[in-house]
Amino acid sequence: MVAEPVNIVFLEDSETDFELAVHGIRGVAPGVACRRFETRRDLNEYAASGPAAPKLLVIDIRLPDGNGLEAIPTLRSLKQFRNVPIVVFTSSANPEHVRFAHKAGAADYRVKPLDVREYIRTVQEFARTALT
Amino acid sequence: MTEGAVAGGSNVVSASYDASDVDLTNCDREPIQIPGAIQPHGVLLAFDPASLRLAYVSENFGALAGIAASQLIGRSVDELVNGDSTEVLRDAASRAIPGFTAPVSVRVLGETADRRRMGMVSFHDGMALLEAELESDPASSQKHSLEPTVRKIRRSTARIESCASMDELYRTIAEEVRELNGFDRVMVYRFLRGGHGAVVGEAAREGLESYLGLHYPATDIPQQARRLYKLNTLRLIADVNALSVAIVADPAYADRPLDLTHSVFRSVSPIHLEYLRNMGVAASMSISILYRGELWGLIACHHYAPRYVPLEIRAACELLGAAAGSFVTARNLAEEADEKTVRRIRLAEAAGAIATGDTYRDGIKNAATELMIALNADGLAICGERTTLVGFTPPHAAVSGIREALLVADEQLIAVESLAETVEGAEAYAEAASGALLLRSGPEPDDALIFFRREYATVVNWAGNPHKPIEQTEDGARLSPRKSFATWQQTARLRSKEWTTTDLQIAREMLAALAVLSARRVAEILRVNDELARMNADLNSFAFSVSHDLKEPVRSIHQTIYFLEQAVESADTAEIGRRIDAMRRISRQMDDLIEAILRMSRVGRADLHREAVPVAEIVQEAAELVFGEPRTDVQLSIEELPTWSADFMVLREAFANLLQNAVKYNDSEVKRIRLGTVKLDSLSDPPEEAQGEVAIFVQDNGIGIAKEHWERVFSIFQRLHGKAAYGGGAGAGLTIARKILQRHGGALWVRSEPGMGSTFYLTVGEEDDGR
Repeated sequence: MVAEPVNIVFLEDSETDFELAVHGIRGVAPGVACRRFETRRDLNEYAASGPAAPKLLVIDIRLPDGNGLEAIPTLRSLKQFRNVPIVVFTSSANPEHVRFAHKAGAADYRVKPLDVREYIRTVQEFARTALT
Repeated sequence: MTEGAVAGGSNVVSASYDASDVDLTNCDREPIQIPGAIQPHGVLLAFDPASLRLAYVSENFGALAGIAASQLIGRSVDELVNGDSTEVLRDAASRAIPGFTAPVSVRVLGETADRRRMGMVSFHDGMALLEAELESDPASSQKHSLEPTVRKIRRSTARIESCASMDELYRTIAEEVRELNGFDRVMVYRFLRGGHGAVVGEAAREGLESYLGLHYPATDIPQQARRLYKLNTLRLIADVNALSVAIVADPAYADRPLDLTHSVFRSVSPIHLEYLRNMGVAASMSISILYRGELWGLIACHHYAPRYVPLEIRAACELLGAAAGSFVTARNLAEEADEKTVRRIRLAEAAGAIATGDTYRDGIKNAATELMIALNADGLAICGERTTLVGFTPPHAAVSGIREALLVADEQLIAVESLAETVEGAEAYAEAASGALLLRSGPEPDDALIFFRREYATVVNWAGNPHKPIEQTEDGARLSPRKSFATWQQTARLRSKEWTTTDLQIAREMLAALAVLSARRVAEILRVNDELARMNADLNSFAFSVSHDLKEPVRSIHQTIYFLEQAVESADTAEIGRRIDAMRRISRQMDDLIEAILRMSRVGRADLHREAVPVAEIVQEAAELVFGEPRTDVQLSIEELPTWSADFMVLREAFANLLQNAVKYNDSEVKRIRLGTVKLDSLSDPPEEAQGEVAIFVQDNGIGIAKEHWERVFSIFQRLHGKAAYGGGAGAGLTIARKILQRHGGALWVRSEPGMGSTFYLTVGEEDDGR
């Protein structure tokens, strides 16, 4: 499915969340390639296969196989992921999660807005920051 | 008041001691045992017990014998008196036991042979004392007259013995003594701690004002008077206005005044005489009541005219006093023990009230009265974050200062009788609270109970009540009960009644009881806190999960509507159909979630109706619910299962969830599920919550669960797989199942390996778990 270099990697189990995020990013950076992994296991497998470093990692917290935040240290231990900015993008506003995210080295923590237009704006903001 | 500041020959000139030096300020130092004089109703001879040589003699003996007293010095006592006395004298003298007193009947030199006088012989300080009655009633010296006296004593002791209460006992003693000696007023006076005393029993001639209940300051009966009361248990002042009789001494003893400690006729201190006269008392008699060698009290008798009491009546009174003393002290001991018991019962009642209060503090408030009674306190401050006041206490604003002042040491128990000495400004509320007893007790280190006692001067009915008009004498009000009260006020103002050893003992018991109660509370609070924390953590994660999991489909709907709008705009009918399908799917998801939340909360809240149920039956029903008609691809084998005390319907839901998962997460062609029992101690690592002997297991040949997910599968809305994988679902089934087993006091856990199937273990306990 994906042959071209991946610019933004998503760890995201919601299909529409991903779809809308891609929709938003295409609005500011039409050429950007996005790829989604639904579980930590899938992302880890991918990361271990030695892909090119992406421009941005967007991570959701609540995933079928555990807490997305706990995937950060593993990713950071891989050379090509060491300096990739990470944005935690989640519906969780739990302050524990916010604290943990910052401790783990996330560049940003954004709560997914319910409103679609706001959601798109939020995605465009952190995508622009990462891509420039 | 009574036979207080005794003795002292103010009316005679004595070579040995000049009593005119005595005034109120040196009352305590007045050497009343060596007044150098005796009262005029007797004669005194003091002699060397070995040689019988006369060393001292009262002047009136000379008059009796018709020879100048000074001429008698140096002669043998044998020559001066004889009769039965001679034998007794010689016998007693040969032994010379100190303190020994023997009655004698003597014939005085120069008197007729049939004239007998009653007398007493005593020994003290190397000297023998013979004292004889001058005013002996001739009739009483006859044998038969003693008979009724003995009978009277027997009757009196019988009456005293039969008294039901202490008040009655004291009153009866006074009545019986009055019956014997005929005084206008007889009082039982009790010494209290700190030396002051109170009239506890009284019998008085009709028309006299009652002194019952009056308290007298310690200064009314100075130390040395109390010592004499101990040594000489009966004392008579027949006439306060009678002139004393001087004692003539052998010049060889000029520097050694005769010690009259044991003398019956010792003359009276001018201070005491003045005191008696100020009260209008003309004659007084007192009988000591001793307890374990200490002066417990006095039987004090007042007469408003001179009154001589013959020796045998005195002896009878003394005997009655001794008997009364033993009754009183025995009864007092019993009463003290009773009082302690009663106070302990109060304490126990208080403890009960504290234990059943909603909070420790509420419990203390409920028990405040009982606690105060247990400590004989008038008020209580319950000091914690807030301060609650009960009864007589200082004003609210002063209490924290008192607590600070008393809490300085590490002591758990601090008692003070005068807050004015410890706390600044305490004079302002002294009437309400002079004494304080602090117990450091409560959940916080500085929590305390402070018990208060009112100022003693305020609560006690002092003799010489300040509201009564001042009693005028020619000296003004120099020495009277009124004056006594004023004296007392100076020394005893701002003080409460003393905290006795019983008080302190009860206080220590209270402290221990409160510690236990408060520790129980603390444990309870910790337990409740833990539970709340756990529930809160549950709730928090639950709330976060639920908000996340409910927000997600809501957001998906918003997003799908957005895409739908775009599809409509571009008239992409295929896309429109796809989005509408997505909407339906999301709605179903939401329904599942909401249904799961409702089931969770039902399981959490419902009362369990536990009964003995065969688990095999539950499993059969659960299987019917889950699979409907028997399925060819499911093989369910149920081994022997126990009977559990459980709520049938609720436990059925747990098994239904387990059976559902066993086939749902199962790729095998034939999904095998086996149920049976296993001994807990045969398992390598059962969780701590698993109690009892056996667990039921539910084993499947499904996809298995990696060890890292063993716990995660029980989290609410947790799915290990993508949304669509394995038939979707809310991810609440195992959470609910575990909650059900926990509610039954048991546990649910899983052991598994990916690809090797999973085994779930279930236990129940005896007791329901809290919700």
